[in-house]
Amino acid sequence: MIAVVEVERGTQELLERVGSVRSAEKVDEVGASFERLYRQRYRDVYRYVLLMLHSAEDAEDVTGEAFQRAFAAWNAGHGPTGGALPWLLLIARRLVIDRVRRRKLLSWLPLAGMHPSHEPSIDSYTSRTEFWMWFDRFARELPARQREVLILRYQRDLDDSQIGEILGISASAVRSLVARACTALRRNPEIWR
Amino acid sequence: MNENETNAVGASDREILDGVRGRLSAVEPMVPAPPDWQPQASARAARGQGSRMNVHIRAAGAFGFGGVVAIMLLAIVIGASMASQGPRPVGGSSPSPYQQWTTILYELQPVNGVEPAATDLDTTVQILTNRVDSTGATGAQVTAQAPNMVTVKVPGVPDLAALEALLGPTGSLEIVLLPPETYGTATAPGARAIPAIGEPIDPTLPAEFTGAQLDSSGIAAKEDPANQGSYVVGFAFKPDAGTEFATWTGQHVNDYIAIVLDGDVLSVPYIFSEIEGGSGEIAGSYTAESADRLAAILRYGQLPFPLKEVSSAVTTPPAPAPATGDGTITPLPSADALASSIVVPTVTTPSDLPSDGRTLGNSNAPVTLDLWVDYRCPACQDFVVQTMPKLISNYVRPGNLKVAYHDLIVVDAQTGSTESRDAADAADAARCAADQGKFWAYTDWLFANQSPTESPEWFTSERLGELANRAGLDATTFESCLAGGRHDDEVAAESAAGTAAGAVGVPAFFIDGAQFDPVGGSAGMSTYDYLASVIDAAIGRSAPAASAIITPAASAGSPALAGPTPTASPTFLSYAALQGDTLQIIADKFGITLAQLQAANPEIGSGSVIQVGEIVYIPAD
Repeated sequence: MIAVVEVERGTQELLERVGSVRSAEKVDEVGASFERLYRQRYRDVYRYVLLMLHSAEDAEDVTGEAFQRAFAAWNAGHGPTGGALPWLLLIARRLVIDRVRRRKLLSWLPLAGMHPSHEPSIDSYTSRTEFWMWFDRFARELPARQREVLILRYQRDLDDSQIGEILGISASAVRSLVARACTALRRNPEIWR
Repeated sequence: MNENETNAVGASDREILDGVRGRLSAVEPMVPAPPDWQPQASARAARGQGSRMNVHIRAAGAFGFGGVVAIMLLAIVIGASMASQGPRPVGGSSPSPYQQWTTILYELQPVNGVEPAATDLDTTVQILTNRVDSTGATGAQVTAQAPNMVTVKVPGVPDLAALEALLGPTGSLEIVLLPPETYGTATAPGARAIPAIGEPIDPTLPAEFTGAQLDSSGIAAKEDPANQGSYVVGFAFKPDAGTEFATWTGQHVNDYIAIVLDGDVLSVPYIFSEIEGGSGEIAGSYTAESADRLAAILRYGQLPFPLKEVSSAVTTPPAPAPATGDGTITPLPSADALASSIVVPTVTTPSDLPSDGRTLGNSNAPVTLDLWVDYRCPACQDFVVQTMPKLISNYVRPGNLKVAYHDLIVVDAQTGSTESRDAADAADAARCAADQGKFWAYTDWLFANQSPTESPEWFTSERLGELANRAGLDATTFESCLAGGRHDDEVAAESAAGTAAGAVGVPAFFIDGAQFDPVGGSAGMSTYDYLASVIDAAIGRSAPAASAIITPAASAGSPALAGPTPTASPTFLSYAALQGDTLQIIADKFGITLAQLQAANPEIGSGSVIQVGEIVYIPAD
């Protein structure tokens, strides 16, 4: 295992040193460019999954799996047709739904009751707890899809039509969900003030 | 409602959104940097690749201690890997140790007609987790699958028999007195011979002490000092029970006792003298391993319900193809390999129910569930395996519900492959089966044989044909139906109708025309419980449980869906009222006026009470 990582890291460094793409043909151009995408977008996918699942452990799992699937599709020549981030989030979203469905079936706990299962370090504990307490309230006030739209809107670089692509709805339906969410939140200013 | 509009509270949408954005940004410290990228050599969803599985199907009820019987062993070799797959370490392949998984699926068995509850499932998961962790295996995953299944997933390929012997037993330990008047004592033989090790105990004999009275920290395997190389399991009672045990043994010196696990005799010692200190040993011909196993089973307590093993499987991703150097591709799997790869469905649709094409149940049933599925979607498989059987026995069979299947092709477009037609082909094939009156049998086989990796090009015409054989279809008719694309257009049209009707994903559930989303709306309930509450309400059996349903419902006049159309409005949302909802509150929730809401729901008077779960129609904008 460790040996594998070391060799790959070495390959990557080599690629970077010799100007990657051109000389990459011999090694693996596809893999190298995917790895760049991975570095660039990992946190964006992770953030979305974390907010959807409220568990760092699940977020790590699902994000990893999403990239593995994306990689397989990419490798097979089925990369994104439009933006890479909507494509990755679409893959991640299916895994999230699957996970939520499974968890709903088995845990009998409302989603909003989920907390990160990892042990936070002491200095970050308070702020993390505060964040999830706030998030629970936020989640309680909004139906799932309105909440998800706001979470996606928080991502950098996603416009309404891309959010629509991820959710399988039109850009105007996205805007209408946002408007509804605002209406619901207007009655609860402590959530956004 | 544009973003700068202000209302009585004075906040614009933009202010609210910026506020939410600011609060959300507190998540950033929790988002880690990406770990090193390590592509799995396995071909998740990659074209042209399969995986190799060994599947054992187990005899029902064979969950005794170490007594599992394999009745079938299918060695499956599907596919061979093709060309290079992404970055590989230079100079050869070294497979990751996490590429192989052993998965065992257990079902909790009801005891005396009592079904396991959710808490029992949790307890089972906890105990099995402890047991599997006791082996020192890292990365094992034990997960519950409602209503009554538990999956144990262990990395690598451990000794399966040993793993089953560790996980399968209920772990019910009893110490039973063998009555001296029947069985005699150590000094005077009785009328009956004492039971041999492994024999079932006479169930009429009461347990004097049970595993619940043991102190778990005192349970350990150790080498028998009197018999080198042989092992015993030492146990200790909790303090109170220890005192009781001492007194009781003092009264039964020379009597035989049987130590019984899950109804079978583990050993039959006799009481040499009063046993003080509340500890003892279970001796038998244990090896170090089997003693450790028994200790682990006793230490973590008794399972609330006995387990039945449903299946076990070892998944092995394909080894990289040997480099041929001349660019030739490893030959495709032979037909035999395909035939042996077929998985037999564990859940089948009863064939004695009334059925009309793709609709199951009495045609006069008062409630209709329109179910939209994609044969490639794992969640649909979950639904068919876990929820459908209960819906069938509780609602379809008594004639209260009919279930109509519809095609909604979703996964083909989501796997990053624009040209995959897998799900559409499977849907075509299912309709060809319906032509022969075998729709239900065929869909059982389809769902059981979903690609484990959601691979495109999985439901090939060869595979679909093989499944047709297994489901008992006429091969020639089926092939010409499928090859001729007889139902292609119907599938596409129905799928489009599903999208038009507002189906948000698969599986989508429309009950009497209104869509319900158990994922988004049913926090805290299983899919079955949720749908059952809605169906109960529809047939007037009871008020449904409170849950939020806010999903677009059928548009009026949609050909596929017969549903209530309370207003002339082209679309509306259906909303199940929550505790405390009034029309005004609901109107506020959706940003519409009370008058609009009342117009959409003429049957709800302004002064009337809204029941929890009552469906309120929301005019959609």
